[in-house]
Amino acid sequence: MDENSLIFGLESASRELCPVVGDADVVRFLAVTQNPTGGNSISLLTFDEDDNQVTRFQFMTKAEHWRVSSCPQDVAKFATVSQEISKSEDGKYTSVAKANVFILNEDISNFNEQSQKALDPALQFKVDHLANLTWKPEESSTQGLAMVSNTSLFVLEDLEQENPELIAKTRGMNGPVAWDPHNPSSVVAAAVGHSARAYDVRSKALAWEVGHRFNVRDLDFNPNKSFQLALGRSESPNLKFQTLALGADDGGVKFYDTRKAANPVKTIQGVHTHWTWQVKFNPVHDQLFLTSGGDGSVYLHSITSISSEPFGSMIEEESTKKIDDGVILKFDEHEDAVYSCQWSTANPWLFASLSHDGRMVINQVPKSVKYDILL
Amino acid sequence: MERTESRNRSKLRDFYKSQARENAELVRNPQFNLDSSQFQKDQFIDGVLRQMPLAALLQKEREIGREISTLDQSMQSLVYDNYNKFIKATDTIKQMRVDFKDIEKSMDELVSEMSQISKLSTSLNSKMKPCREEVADLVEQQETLTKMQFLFELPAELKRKIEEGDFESAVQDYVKANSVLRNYENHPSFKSIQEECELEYKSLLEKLEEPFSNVDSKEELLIRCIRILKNSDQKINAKNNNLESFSAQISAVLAEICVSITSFKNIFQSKNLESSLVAQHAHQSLKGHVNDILEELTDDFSEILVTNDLSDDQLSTSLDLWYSKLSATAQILPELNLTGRSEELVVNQAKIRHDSIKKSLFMKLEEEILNIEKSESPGATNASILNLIQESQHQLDKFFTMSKSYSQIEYFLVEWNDMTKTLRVDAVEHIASFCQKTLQTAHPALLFPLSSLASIWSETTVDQCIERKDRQTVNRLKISFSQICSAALKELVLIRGCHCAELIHRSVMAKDWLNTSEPRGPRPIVKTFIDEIRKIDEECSKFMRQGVRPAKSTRSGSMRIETLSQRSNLNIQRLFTDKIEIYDVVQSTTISVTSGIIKIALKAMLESVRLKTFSSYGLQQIQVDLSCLHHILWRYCEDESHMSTISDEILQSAALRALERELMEADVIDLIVEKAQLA
Repeated sequence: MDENSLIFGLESASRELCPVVGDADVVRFLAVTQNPTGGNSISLLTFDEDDNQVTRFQFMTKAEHWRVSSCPQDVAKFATVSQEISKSEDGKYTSVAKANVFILNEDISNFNEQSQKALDPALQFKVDHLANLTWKPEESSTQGLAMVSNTSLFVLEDLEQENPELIAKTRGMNGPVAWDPHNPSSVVAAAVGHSARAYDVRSKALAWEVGHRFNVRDLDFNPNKSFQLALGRSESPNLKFQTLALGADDGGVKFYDTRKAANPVKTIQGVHTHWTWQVKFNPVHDQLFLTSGGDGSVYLHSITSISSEPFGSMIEEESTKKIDDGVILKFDEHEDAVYSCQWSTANPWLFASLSHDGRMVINQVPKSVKYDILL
Repeated sequence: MERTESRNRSKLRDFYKSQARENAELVRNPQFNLDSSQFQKDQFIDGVLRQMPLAALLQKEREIGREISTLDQSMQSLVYDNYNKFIKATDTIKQMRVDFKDIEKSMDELVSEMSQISKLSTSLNSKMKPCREEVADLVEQQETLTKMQFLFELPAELKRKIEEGDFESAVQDYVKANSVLRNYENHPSFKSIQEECELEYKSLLEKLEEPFSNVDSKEELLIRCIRILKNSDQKINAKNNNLESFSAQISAVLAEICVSITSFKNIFQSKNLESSLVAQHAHQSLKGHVNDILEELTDDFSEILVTNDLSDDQLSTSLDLWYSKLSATAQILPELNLTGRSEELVVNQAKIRHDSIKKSLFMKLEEEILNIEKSESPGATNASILNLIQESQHQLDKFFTMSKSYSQIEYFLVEWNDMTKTLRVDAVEHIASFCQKTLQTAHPALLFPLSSLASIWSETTVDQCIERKDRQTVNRLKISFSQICSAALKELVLIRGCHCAELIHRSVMAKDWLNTSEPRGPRPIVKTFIDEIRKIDEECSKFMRQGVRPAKSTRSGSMRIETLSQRSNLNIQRLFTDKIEIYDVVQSTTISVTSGIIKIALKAMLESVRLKTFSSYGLQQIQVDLSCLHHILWRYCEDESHMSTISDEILQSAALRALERELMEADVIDLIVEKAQLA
């Protein structure tokens, strides 16, 4: 689609991708593969912006990994959710889910080549039916983790803690979890069935809840604007005739102000034709918004009307051109469902998406949009 | 000089020094200071005994003794002084107590007297009451008597006034009395008075008309006569809110005006005076007065129309009456400015009526649409909606018939035509917008009938309802209805599909696929899902056409996947198959609805399968489930290949998540499907 898009293939099915958050200079991503029969790896993918190519360093592991999250404070640390299946003597299978923390013992720039190496986790926590985990945000003082199983929410305050602490028990959690970057280390939100709930880690009390008619598939906070939350949904609740002109209809996104949870501040509808699997605010320019869906497409949206950038210029003579709300670009390089899409933290104009068949695509925000935002 | 100055200075210094020293000492040990509150006598005595030599001690003793005696004396004098005062105070208080006793007594007396006074006043009041009433009665009687006197004297008074030529006050008196006299008409004595008055009044009128016949009479006189005549007319026309009596009165008044005008005309015509300046002037003023009267009448009339709740018939007849009378007047006096206000009045009334009819029609329509769930079929609702519109049209037509006099107003004709034409279009548009509104909040059960209603409208009813002349509007409405229809269907498919998807997703997520036994039949969810689809199909067929069912081919209903493709092949396969849109456009046919739901449900199954891990038996169970589903559901799919593509993908995904990729033999599956007896 764009001259800048780059396609790269992983050999196994994969569901999760994350940027190496702590690295401010080099665009790096971590991707995990799932293969129940073995041969799994965690890939450190380094993108060379000058040569427009990706080098992949594989950390070979025994277990398959479903989720990965990189530590914002420390480039060398990342955590995964793993699943190991073992067969007992009487022919029974058991599957064990664990949270793993890996620590690289060398500088990350040493892994810039096409190579591989075995790596064992530095720390492991066994959690039944663990579904997802995420590091505490950059602003928090300790390196801790929030973990979600299908029934419970745990928090590991720092890596010295022996066992994760139970914060809340509620049925129907399905994975999505995010720390509120504006209350670092105190509020963590998780998708629970048709709603999103946030818990105060200190008091273990429900902080707020937003809900609607369909399953919540992902949630993300606007990093620059307090109280704003985006929910990806499996289905879009309402049909609007205005959007019918687009031809497609569903897999929407709703934006909420968490202080006024009753009604969304904005709704994106009729874009994805299946579940919206991931939603991401751009960490720097939050008028850019990324969604990926089960229909195999990735969309770059403009949400200027609710971004933290002031709408319209402060100086009147400089009436800059603002991008109207709506889809900026559709990326359809994927053939299968795209479970993950992520902005790079090193280059805010760059993002990667990963579909289930292992195809990873790195794209850039079109230059015209970039100039519209910057100038 | 210098010496005295220095001496003074030294004295001052001494004073301040000693003061300062004393203060310092006082601060240092307050317990040694006699004047201090913290003075401790034992410590002081100890200290003094220890520190002072004998002489000084004696001196000190003397000093203190002197001080004590002076203090004693002053204390005694103080006590005596104050004792005196104290005694005086007690005496005063005693005296006061005695005095107050007296006052108390007199106060009691005062209270009792006051109560007596109030008692007296009330009794007086009660006694005076009848008297007061009597007085009031008397006053009233006197008033009536005065009035009576006025009445009895009226004929004479009138006569006198007429003779004197004071016509204005005569008319005033007459008008004043007239209403009273009318009230008491049946009293013989009053009747005679009235008769007399009438007589006098007639003579007055004659007198007034006299100048008309007199050629030489001056213009001023004429104008005066006309003014008086007008006055008499107006006053009789007292305000009356009852429409019937009002219209009767109006016609009377208008008739009278007509008579006056004709007589006026006759006078001038007979005398051939039309060209004279005087006549023109008189004519002008007559016109002005008549106009004033009519305007006032118009105001009254519109007020009455507003305040009274009239039925359509009443309104139209009264408007008709009003307008016909007016136009009669207008014919007699063509220069009258009738076209302005009165026509506007008629048109305004018509507009108000039109609006209210429209509003009630809209309300009824909304009710009908919301009740569509309970009605027998959308066709019935459709018919009743058409009925409602027809009824309202009739109502409007009744209001407007060519026989009515006001229908001849051109202005009115134009306005009315617009209104009647737009009623149907407005109603249809309202239905469309209301449907759209309900869609967003509707109960799922409402969606089926709503969509089919919309489709009926878009196909036939819009044409029936609106004149074909207006092609543009018809097409616009048709499009908006078909949009409503597809939106409702899409919403419906989404809701039902998500329900099924949730069922399947849960069932897959809850099962332990690693430790299942060898599959012998489909899991219960398969049957539930098939039943659900059948139910939807049944519901659906009540409201819409069947659509084109797929023809049964040799491969129909069977799903044969014997080999699992490699990953690379899988991607190539995808390249060659069409991408299936899950939330696609839904046609208004049963098959389109069911296939939409099946697609959503199967896609959810795909997503859930990708999250689990399977043993070989687990994989085979998925295979069995899919085959069973396929066996039944192919006939509910528009395009069987879509279903097989998704099923295929589910099986491939399950295989990817399987520890051992061993599939079941095709004939075993056929056997199991047959045994399951799903059909």
